Amino acid sequence: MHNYFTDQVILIDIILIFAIAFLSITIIIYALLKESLARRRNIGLINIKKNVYALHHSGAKLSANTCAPFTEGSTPQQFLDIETNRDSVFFNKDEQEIFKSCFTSPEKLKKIEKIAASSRNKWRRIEAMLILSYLDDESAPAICEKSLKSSNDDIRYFSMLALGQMKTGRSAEILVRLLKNDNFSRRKIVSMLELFPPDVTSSYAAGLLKDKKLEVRFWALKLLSRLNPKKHLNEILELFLDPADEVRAEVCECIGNSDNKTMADKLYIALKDKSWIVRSAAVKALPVLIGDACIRNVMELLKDSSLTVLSAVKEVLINHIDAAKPYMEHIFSGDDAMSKLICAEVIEEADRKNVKK
Amino acid sequence: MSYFTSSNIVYAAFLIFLTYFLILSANYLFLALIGLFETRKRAHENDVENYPLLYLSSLTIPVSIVIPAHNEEAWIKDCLLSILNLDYPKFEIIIVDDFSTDGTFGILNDILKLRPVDVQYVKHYKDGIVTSILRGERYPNVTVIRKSESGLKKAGAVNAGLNMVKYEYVCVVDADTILEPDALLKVMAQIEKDPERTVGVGSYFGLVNGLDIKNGRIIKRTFSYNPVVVCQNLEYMRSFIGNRVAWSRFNAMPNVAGGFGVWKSDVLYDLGGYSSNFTCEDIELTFRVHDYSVKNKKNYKILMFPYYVGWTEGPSNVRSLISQRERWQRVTNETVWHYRHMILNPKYGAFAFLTLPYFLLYESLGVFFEIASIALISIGWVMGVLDIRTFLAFLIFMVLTQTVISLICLLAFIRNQKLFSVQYVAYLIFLSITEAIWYRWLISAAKLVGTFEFLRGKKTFDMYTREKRKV
Repeated sequence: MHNYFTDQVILIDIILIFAIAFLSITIIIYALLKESLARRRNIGLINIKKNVYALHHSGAKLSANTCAPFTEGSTPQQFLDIETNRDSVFFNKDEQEIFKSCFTSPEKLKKIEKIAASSRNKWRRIEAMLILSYLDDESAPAICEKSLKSSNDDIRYFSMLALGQMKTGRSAEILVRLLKNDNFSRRKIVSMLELFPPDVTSSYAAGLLKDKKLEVRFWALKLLSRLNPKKHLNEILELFLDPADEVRAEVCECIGNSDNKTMADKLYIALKDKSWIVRSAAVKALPVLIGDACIRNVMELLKDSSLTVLSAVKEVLINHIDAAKPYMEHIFSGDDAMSKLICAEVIEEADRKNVKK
Repeated sequence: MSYFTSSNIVYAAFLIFLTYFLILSANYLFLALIGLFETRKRAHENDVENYPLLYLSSLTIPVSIVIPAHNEEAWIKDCLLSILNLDYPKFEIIIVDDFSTDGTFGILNDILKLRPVDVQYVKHYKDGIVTSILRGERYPNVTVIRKSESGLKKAGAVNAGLNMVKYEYVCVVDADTILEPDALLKVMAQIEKDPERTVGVGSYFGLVNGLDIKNGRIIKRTFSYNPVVVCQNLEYMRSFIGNRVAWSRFNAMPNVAGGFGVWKSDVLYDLGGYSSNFTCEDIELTFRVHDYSVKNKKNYKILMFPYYVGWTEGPSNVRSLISQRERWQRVTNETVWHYRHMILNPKYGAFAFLTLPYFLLYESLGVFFEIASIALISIGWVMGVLDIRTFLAFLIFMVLTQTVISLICLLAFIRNQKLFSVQYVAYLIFLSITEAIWYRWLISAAKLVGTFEFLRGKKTFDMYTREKRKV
């Protein structure tokens, strides 16, 4: 007689039946609890909002006494709910500031710092780091810098975000250093640094212009073009002959944003660059720097072989149609069919834009 | 054949089927538990992510959204308006009217005020015949491409849209899908963490059936109580949360679903876009991206998130359901067969050892195992080789494992979402327990038909009959 493991299968069935019963009850209880917790959480936030609103409109000074009614029982999660408006109860900027000022008692801060520095619960640690960054806590940059060396991806990423939230010189310095060393987060780092006050960040960024890695030079230029390229123009121009096309293109963008009209000659040279990326960047940068005065030079690229360059030229001509029209007449009387077609499209598009206006 | 010989055959087959179901159950349980933890992690990430940064930065990655539409007059308005309402700083929309014979184009024209434009259209991807390109007067970031019939199915329509995209990432959305306002924001925030390596991303979407929608916005989340629809919702949860999110953890995600998927443009460019040689296009593309990336030694990631990004129409009756699943089964078989060289090939890592064996043994051949095992234990019981206890114990085992997996996925889902009322959750539990008695066999029947059609070489994209909707 063969052994069909009947008893074992029945045992598994019994275990599965218990598992189903357990899971069903757990799910129902969980759903009920969740609903009730969400309700309580909302009521808590509404109460805070009411108190903050009343305090704001009473004109009373913020003190331990005036803050007490709504801060004593408030939790770090509520702090993040309010500061980031992550739940359905909306707090405006003033209300957020009042709550922030009230939230910081020395004991509370100490507790949060401890969690941010060493909690074993990753998400509590991350939340604490973010709270410190919102509070501009002095210890926050050092804690976040240490966390950047964590082996955990989430801790590293969110400590980076916390540094981006601070917008101080110290946090800028740490982020720029990270820009040099982190191969995967450069875009994110620059997108945070561009929102820092320019004076705080630009000199750190300029320090990366001579880096060996082209990605670092590229992103440093990208950042500078959005901050204060005028201040570091000489260092930027040293990269005008950089071997990497992307870097030379970024140099053009920086020149465009530099407000230094004497630099237009550099962009005219870039219009003849061998790379379409650079030519296209120069086409876009020229009108930013010198406005209508660039049109004649830009129109020389109507015969360019790159579609990207042609599209950039078209965009510039549409936006400067009045300056471009006299030159276009010249084109229409010539033989080049392609240039004529583009000019016709430009006029049509510009007319449509004007009608819309 | 003597009794002893047939008894031995039944016994040997029984052992094979028992082993098969034990391995399958262990695999499901493993994936469901990974999914449970992974969804929790993603929910935490979502809670603390700095979404306003994406608005404020000039470097936020812009996205081209491609919507292929063939006879979508019932949904196109809500789909388009939901996308126009997206909370995302920079995106363009390219709608491909794929030879619609209903009012699709008229609806688009009413909303957008379309006019023909003379733009450069470079045919890099195989797209069929484009008859005109139009742009919205009201919304200049919306382009409509009109195509004539080409036999290239949805793949040809998406490819036509791809020919016009200008941004680094492309989001392909079905025209019967309504997106949540923060859909792109949530997904792109994750992509921005590592845009160098992230080449494809999908996220959870449920069924729109029953939801109250007006002008692309969900007015009331009234989920359908139709058991056919609810069982599909459970199935989506099992598939997205229980399987795909878990596979994504190991970079072994097999399918960025066609309803909502984000791809890196340059990867699509290198691959020549979507292929029309298969019944459907989404699963094949995902397999092809794995194949291409491994062969070209690329450091890549294809991710799946548990965030609900949108809602799509699903079959609301048995006939439509079987028709849809028959098609899904065909494309699964076609893809697994076409990419069989990847199965258990060490070069492909977890995809070859975790995902593909599952696809082969469960998605492709599973239906035969299920039916053969039921047939076997029934024959064994009739012949007197198996007693009634063994017969029932084995049947109950098959039913209960799926219920447990469904419940784990349901737990993972409700832990992180605030979508369902307690009453609806109770209904989902009830159907998780009972679906194995009826719904599972409907799906098995559809799979069986799909497999036979695959063997016959059928490759048509048959759209099931859709429920009439007031336009």
